[in-house]
Order: sequence, then structure tokens, then C-alpha cells
Amino acid sequence: MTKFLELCVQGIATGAQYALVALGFVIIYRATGVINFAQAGFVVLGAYLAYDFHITLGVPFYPALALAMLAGALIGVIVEATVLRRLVGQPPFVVIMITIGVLTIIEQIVPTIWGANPLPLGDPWGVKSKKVGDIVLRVSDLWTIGIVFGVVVLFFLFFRYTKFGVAMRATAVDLEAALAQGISVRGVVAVSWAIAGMVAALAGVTLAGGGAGVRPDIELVAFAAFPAIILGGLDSPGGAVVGGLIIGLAQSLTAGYQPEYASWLGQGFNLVMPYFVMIIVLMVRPYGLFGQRQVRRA
Amino acid sequence: MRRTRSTRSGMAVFAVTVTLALAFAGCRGGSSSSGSGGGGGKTKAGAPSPTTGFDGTTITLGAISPQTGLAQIIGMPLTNGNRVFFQGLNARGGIAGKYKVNLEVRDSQYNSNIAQQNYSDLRDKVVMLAQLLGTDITNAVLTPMRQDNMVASPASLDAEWVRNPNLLPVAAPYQIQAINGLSYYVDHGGAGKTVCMIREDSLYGAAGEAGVRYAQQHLNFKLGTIAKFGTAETDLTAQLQQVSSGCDAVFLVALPTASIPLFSKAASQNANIRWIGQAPTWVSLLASGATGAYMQQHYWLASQGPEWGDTSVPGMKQMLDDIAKYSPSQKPDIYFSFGYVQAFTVSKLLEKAVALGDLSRPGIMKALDQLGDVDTMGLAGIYHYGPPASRVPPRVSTIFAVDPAAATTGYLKSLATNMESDAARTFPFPK
Amino acid sequence: MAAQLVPTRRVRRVRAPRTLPRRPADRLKLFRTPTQKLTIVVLLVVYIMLPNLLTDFWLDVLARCGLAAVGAIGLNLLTGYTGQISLGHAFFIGCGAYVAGYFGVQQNLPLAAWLPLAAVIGAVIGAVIGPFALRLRGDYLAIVTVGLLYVGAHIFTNWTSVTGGHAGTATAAPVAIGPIDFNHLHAFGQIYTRRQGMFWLCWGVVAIVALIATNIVRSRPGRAMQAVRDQDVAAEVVGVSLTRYKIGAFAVSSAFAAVAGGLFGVVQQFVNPTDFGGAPGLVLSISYVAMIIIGGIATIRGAVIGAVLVVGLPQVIQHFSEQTHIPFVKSTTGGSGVLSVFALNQIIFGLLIIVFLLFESRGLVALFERARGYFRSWPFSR
Repeated sequence: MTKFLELCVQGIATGAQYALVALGFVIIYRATGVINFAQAGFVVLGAYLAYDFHITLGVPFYPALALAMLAGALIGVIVEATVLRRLVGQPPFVVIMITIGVLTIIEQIVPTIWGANPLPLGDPWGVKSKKVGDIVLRVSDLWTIGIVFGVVVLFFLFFRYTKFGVAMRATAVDLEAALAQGISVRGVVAVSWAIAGMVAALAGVTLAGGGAGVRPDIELVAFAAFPAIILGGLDSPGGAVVGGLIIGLAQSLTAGYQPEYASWLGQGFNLVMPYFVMIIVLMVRPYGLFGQRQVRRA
Repeated sequence: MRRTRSTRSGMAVFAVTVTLALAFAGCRGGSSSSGSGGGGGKTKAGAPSPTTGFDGTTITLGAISPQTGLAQIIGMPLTNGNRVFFQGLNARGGIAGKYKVNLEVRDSQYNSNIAQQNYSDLRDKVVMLAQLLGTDITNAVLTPMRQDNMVASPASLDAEWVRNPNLLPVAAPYQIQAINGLSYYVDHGGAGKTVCMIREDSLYGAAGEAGVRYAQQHLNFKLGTIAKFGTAETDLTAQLQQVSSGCDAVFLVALPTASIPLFSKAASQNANIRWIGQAPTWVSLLASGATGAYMQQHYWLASQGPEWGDTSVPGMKQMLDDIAKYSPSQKPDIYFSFGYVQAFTVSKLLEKAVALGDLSRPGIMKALDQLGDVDTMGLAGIYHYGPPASRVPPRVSTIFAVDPAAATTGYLKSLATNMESDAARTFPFPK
Repeated sequence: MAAQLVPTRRVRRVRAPRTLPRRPADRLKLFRTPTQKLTIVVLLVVYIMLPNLLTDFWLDVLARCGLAAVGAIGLNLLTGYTGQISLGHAFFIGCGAYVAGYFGVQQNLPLAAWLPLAAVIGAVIGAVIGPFALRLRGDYLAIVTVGLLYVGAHIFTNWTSVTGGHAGTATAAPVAIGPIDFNHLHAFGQIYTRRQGMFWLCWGVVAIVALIATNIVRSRPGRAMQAVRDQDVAAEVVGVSLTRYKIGAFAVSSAFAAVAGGLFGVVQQFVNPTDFGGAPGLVLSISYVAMIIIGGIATIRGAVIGAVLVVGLPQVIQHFSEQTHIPFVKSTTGGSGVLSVFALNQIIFGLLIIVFLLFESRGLVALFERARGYFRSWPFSR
């Protein structure tokens, strides 16, 4: 039982990290219909920026985190304004290719500036933990889960009660109708990139915190979050969170039990499991759990 | 079917073209194509004559190494180690006191497809490869190397390399590191205890397991769970769970991508385990980051060579002098020292080839067969080279403990420098 | 928006060929104009001559460009013509390479047997995957095909009797057709190196595959595929079977990918699961998508040009930067600088993709068309 609970806690913590990464993808997809591969680069940049503010410049951790989020938002807006704005109306695949180009450049710039060696983030969470019964809860994991909750609540309030949030929802539903209503689609897209940049910085910090260190390979987690994005529905922020948690749990429980009970599935099956979950869900619901169904028109 | 006129004229053009083009065959301008790089290079007078990669004064060597991407964390310091040694060597006069060495590096991006292109780029430019990094990449490049009689020094420690006629391996293989690490554990409070293992599911992991299993037959400890994980896995919670009860010590074979999250988890659980890690599990973040205190108490590293800055070892003194001159920004790094030792060994092979008067590829292979003992000035033990069947790798390892305060020694303090356990002494390398 | 693959913006004047074919049958001919015939002859001369002019290194690069072109033509049939986005192409390439390893090396079958077998096995696996495309659309399909890479990596690592597991397996399958052995060709008293032979082999296969693909796209299946891409509901209404053409496109595209994989096997001679699975597989798949986009989507020529560019350009950049001294950049032989030349090479590559696609999002082929239009109407061109 302890084993099961520990695996669940681990699964939820990993899932929360996936969720933060997935939220960034989803926000941009909603506004532009593009899967932004550079999001993985934003996550890495966010972590390094937090490191620079906190360790290099000596800003206390939480203000440094806020600064990193602002800087992340700025990077998102700059990338949008310099590169992606020129691509409005182009086929999504061309745009995706360009985001991959941006990712390639970020991947080279990061080690050039900060070196390839992992750096300590100096977060207050460290390797501290709380014990509840037999279960060890890592403080960094609790913070990650808390941050995801906070972000979800803020998103809900933003999309529900602010004028801009409603405008963003309207744009996501029908771009032309939104334009006809006088909504600045350009502004919506820019704000979406800014939000994605902020969420990326948060994701980067939670990935680098808890002793994991700031290192270029945290971008791998961004790719591991793919099934989570799809599972929830590419354009649903709520779906991203649910998808992240399901994938995290599936992965963790498979890693814990499959070698014992289904070893014939082979070594490392837990890496494949998320994709099986994803495929099964998509066969039943082709637009993910909460994705917007696209109407097929002739 | 009736043949139209255009088809017929097409056939005629085709025939003419083929004949003309083939008539030109072999006009390819003076490069490269001869492939297996045999021919020249040998003179009776003793001084080697120019050959591929050697113009009579400068010897060009190649290195295929990840310089971008995630594996650059190993490739960059290792290549810098190669480079600093050769710069120092050139300043001291060069190979045999007269031939300067030039190192051509190619970025493999840790991808064997690109590594092979690097190889076909370098093969017409270099005498040999001073560095070939990555087990998979070495396997991939070995096939054309065999066809070309090319010699390379692999930067991985698989025991499989020991018997390969095209390879010049350096330092004690992973198996020896495992055996020495466990011997040290048994001699320091581990007798009769249960040792478990977490290992990568790869050739690298299998090498570690072979060492652990051999040690178990010859040393007084019980072998517990062996938990494996896939090469792409970074979350080892389940594996940690498997070893967290009933194991006194865990021998770890992993890369930093997996070992960092593993130790951060173990540290937050304050798992009461004696960790013994193989060289590539280590990265300085483990000491400088939040895990420092836990690592100090619970982790030993089985690697080779002296503590960084221990100038009582002649090799270390020379290395630090060279760093001060050619790369003052280099921080203490076990991969740098490895690259330095590797370049040193390569220089010994080249000296032998010069002494035999032949720097051609077959000449280098012959020199490797006749090289004999290479003493690495205390940096990695004595390696006996010769015909593949008679090669004997060093059996020494150094056991390090972590000291988060000792940034100047790369956070590592030696517990036993270049120790050779009885079990390691008897380990038979596969024929 | 998501289904719109071929851009409709900036439509340019379509110029009719100078010599209009008189009969409908002529219009369906492969090579219509004298220019096209001349191009074929020139390409043929280049094909035969190139190995006599270039060094082994460039031949190796070009052979890899060629095998990539085979795979890219396959992906273009699926993505460019049928509109099904796949990021799982590396998996099928891997299947082909392992077919070369198992049937070519372990069972020692000749080229004439194992290469077609690779195509058949690729097609079968593709046809099994195809039905997923019936249910999923656009980006959802793209990500699901990423799953193939992970499932593939899992199979490649665990099916050790065929793949050799982590240790990898030799894939230098026999490459002889009767008396012609591409490993050591000899003709007219000349002996050719392996890399010369590989160039001829790979580009020979490119020619065959391009011919097959051209024939597919200019006939009924090709028109059906494009109908599926542009308006699938309308296509269904007029009697195009979505099931048949989507699954068919997957099968053909995978067959081509497996052939490319088989060629990769013989060029590379040794493969292991990290060549095709997981994150490296994703990088490989993405590079194939890059080929068809940069070359020009939904054109056979585009796929070939794109493959040459994506595979060859990094090597060209590398050689250029090797010979130039750029300030603040560490060269391949060391020295001081902020940026390593290797990082710079990749930054240049990334920038070139961005700048090029910003400038001409329809790919290189469109650029050529533009240039040709300019010269044809000169001196009246804008």
C-alpha cells in the first residue's frame, strides 16, 4: 500500500510538471493553431533565467522566479513579433517548422552562455521533505502541484471574468467572428505567447528545482509531455492538466508494477505506456478528453 | 509495341552518355579514393615518409566527439583534455621531439549517422583518431575503420574494446571499476552485507553488472535486487523503491541525466544506502547543489587517477601546468583528465610508430601490436598493449568521496588512490 | 486552417508550357517538353560522372542525401499529397534498416530479394498503422505518430534476435545485382570504391522511386489522394474511398521509407535502436518533414531537392566554416572564442530554415519557378 501511494504521489508530481509544460503548448495552439516546438526551448531558458536572477544577481528566490516569468513573457512576445507574426495565413506546417528552427537556435545559445554543466538553482525547496505516515512528500513536489493548481485557478478567472480572457476564448472558437466583433486578434496572439513564456518559466523552475539542477536536458521533459497535451485535447487548458496527471500516474504505476507483474512486456515499458494510454483515449475521443471538435465541412 | 522516334533517340543519347561518362572513369583528381590507406609511409632510413595525415612535419589526428547537444557535457571537457595535452606536447617539441600534432575535431552530436559522416570526412585527413566518444558510435564507426585499417582511441571504458585490433582503449574498464569499488566497500564495513544494483539497460550497464557479479563470487557480500532502467528514463523512483528495503549498498551504473534525479529523490527520503557509482554517474552538481550533504555521507565514486591537484603524482603536475598555460578557465573535471590521459597514450603510440619509421595506417596498427607497456605517469595505471590477445588493461581504480566544500578538487576527495584489489587482479578479460 | 497544407495565398500566373501537347495522351506523358528531355539527359550525365569527380567524403554525403530523398518522396506522398501529417517516419526507416540487417546480413539474401522485401514489410506495417489516420486528424495524428517512435524503440531494443538489442546489428547487406556488386564495382579496367558504388546505388533507387511516385500522383490514385487532402468530405461524396486512399498512402509512404532505411543500413553498415527510436527518432522524423517543406510540399522534385539540402547543407556549412576564420568563434582545431564553430553551424542551419521559409514558404521548387518565370518573360518581368 505504501508503495502504491508513493508511486501515486510521484506520478502526480511528474504529471504536474507535464501539465505546466503542456499548458504552454495549449495556450499557443488555441490562439494560432500551431504546435510551438520552441516551447521546449522556452522551458529551458526560463530555468536559466531564474538561475541568473537568483544566483548571479542575488535576487531572492521568489522575486527571481517572478522576474524569470516576466523575462519569459518578453521572450515569447519577441519571438512572436520578430518571426511568427510574419507567418499569419501560412500553412501551420511551415510555422511549426519555423518554431523548430527557433528551438535549434535556443538549444545552441543556452550552452554557449551558461555552459553545459548542470548548475544548482539554489531554490529553497532543495531536497527537503515532509513525512505523512509512511509516505515521504518532497517539498519541491508539493510546490509543483500547488503551482499547477494556482495557475489553473488563475486561468479560470482570467478566461471567465476578464474582457481580454473572453476575447481570447472567442478568438479560439471562431477567428473571423472574433475579428468581426472588433477583437484585436494580433493582441490576443501576442498575449498568448506572453502567457506561454511565463508558464514555460514556471515549468522550467519546477523541473530544475528540488536538487535536479538547471541543465539543458530538461527540454526532454517537454517532449515527454506530448501525450499529455494530446490526451487532454490540444486546445483545452483544463485538458492539459488532466492529461498531464493521467500520463504521470500511468507512467509511474507502470514503472512500479510492470517489471513485477508483466515483465514479458520488456524493459522500459513505462516510457511507452503514455502513448498507449493516449492512443486508446484518442480512438474513443479523437479530439482528446476536452478538445474542441472540429466540424468537417465540404 | 511500336517504338516511337523519341524513345529511340533517347536510347541513343543514353548509350552515348554512358560510354562517354565511363570513359572518364578514374579521372578523379588526386584525392582519397584509394580507401584502405596503405601504400607509402615507410622508409628504411627510419624517418617516416609523408602519408595520409602526415606531411613530413605535422601529424594530423582526428576526434569524433559530441560538441553540441546534451552529450557535450562529456565531449567538451574530454576534447579539451586531448587538446591541452597536445598543445603542451607541441611546446615540448612534439612527437619524438620533432613532429607537431594537430587535432581536427568533428561534432558527432552523439548521433552515429553523423559520426559516420565525420569519419568519412576525417579518414582522408588524419593518421588516426585520438578520440571516438560513445559506445554506440564506436560500434557504428568500427565497420569502416576495419576496412580502412584505421586506429582509434575510444573514450568509453567497455571491456569489449580490449581485444579489438583497431582500438587503443585507455584506463581500467568498467568491470574493474565495479570490482575495485565493491572490494573497497567490503574492506570498509561492507563485509557480509547485501549489495544491490541499479543499472542502465545498455552495454554500459551490462559491463557494470559483469563486474558486480564477478566481485560477488570473490568477495564476501550478498547480491540483492538488480533493478534496470531504460536509456531514455530519467525518473528512477520505482527502481529506488526496489532497493530501498533490504539493501545496504547499491552499485549504480547510470549517466547524470538519470543519476541527478535519482539522488535528489534519495536525498529527500534520506535513504540509508551506501551508494557506489561508476565514473559516468558523477557530475559536480551532485555536490554543489541541494544534494551535497547527502552525497557526502552516502556516495563513493569508483573512477581512476589521483585527486585533482595532487601534485605528488607526476602526471597531475604536468597536467595542471599545461592547464595553467593553455586553458586556465578549465575547472576540475574527471572527463578532462580522461581526455588528457587519452592524448598521452595516443602520443606514446605515435612515438612508437615514428620509431618504427612508419606513420601509415598499417604502420600504426603494427606499432599498436608492438607498443608494450604505457605508464600514464600515475594518471590511470599501466596499460599493456600488444597483439589483441595479449593486451592487459590496468586494474587500478581510485575511490572518491564527496566533499561539497572542496570546489578546488572538483568536490572529490580520494579515499584510496590507484588501488588494485585482489579480485580485480584475477578478473579475466574475454578472449 | 489545420488541414490547409498547400498555401493558396500569393497565387502566381500559371504559365502554359510553350509547346502545348496536341493530344490528351501527350499531356499525360512523363516528359513532355524538349527542356524536360534535356534535363533528364543532363541528370544522367551528372549521375554517371559525379563519382569520378568528387572525393569519397562528398560521395558519402550525397549517398545519404539520396537515401533521404527516397524517404522524403515517401513522406511527401503521405503528407504532401494526402495531407496526413506523420512524425513517425523514422520508425519505418528503422524497420527497413533492420530488414537489411536480418534478411540481408543474417539470412544472406541478395539485394534483389531483401530490398523489395523491405518495401513489402514497410507497406504491411504502414497499412496496419493507417487505420488510425481514419479516426484522427491533423495535429492529433502528428503526435500519435510520435508514439510510433517510442513503441518502435521499445521493439527494436527488446527483439534482440532480429535487432541485436542495444548492442546493435550489422546491416551491410549484400548489394550485388547479378555480376554488378556496388561494394566493389569494376568496369573498363577501373575499380571503384565502396562509396562510389553507394552513390550509384542510392541515386539509382531515387530514380526508380521518383518514377513510381510520379506515376502514382499523375494517375487516378494521385488525384484521389489530393482530393482527400483538400476536401475529404467532398471527396467521399464523389466516391473516393477515404479508407482505401488514406491506408494506401500510409502503405506506400512506409514502403518507400523502409527502402530508404534499407539503403541507410547498407551505407551505415551498423545500426542500433538509438538511430531511430525515441528522441533521436523524433529529430530524424522532423528532418524528413523539413525536407519536404523546404523543398516544396506536394512535388516529387521538391522532396529530392529538400533531402539534398537538409542532409548536405550542414556539411557544406561545416566545410565553409572550417576554412574561414570567424571572429569570436573557436575553430575545429581549437583556439579561443565565445562560440564553438559546431554550435555556430547549427545556429546557421536553424537561421537558414527560418529566413528561407519567411521568404518563400512554398519551398525551393517555388523559388525556382519564380526564377524561371522571371527569365522567361524577360525583359518584361517585374
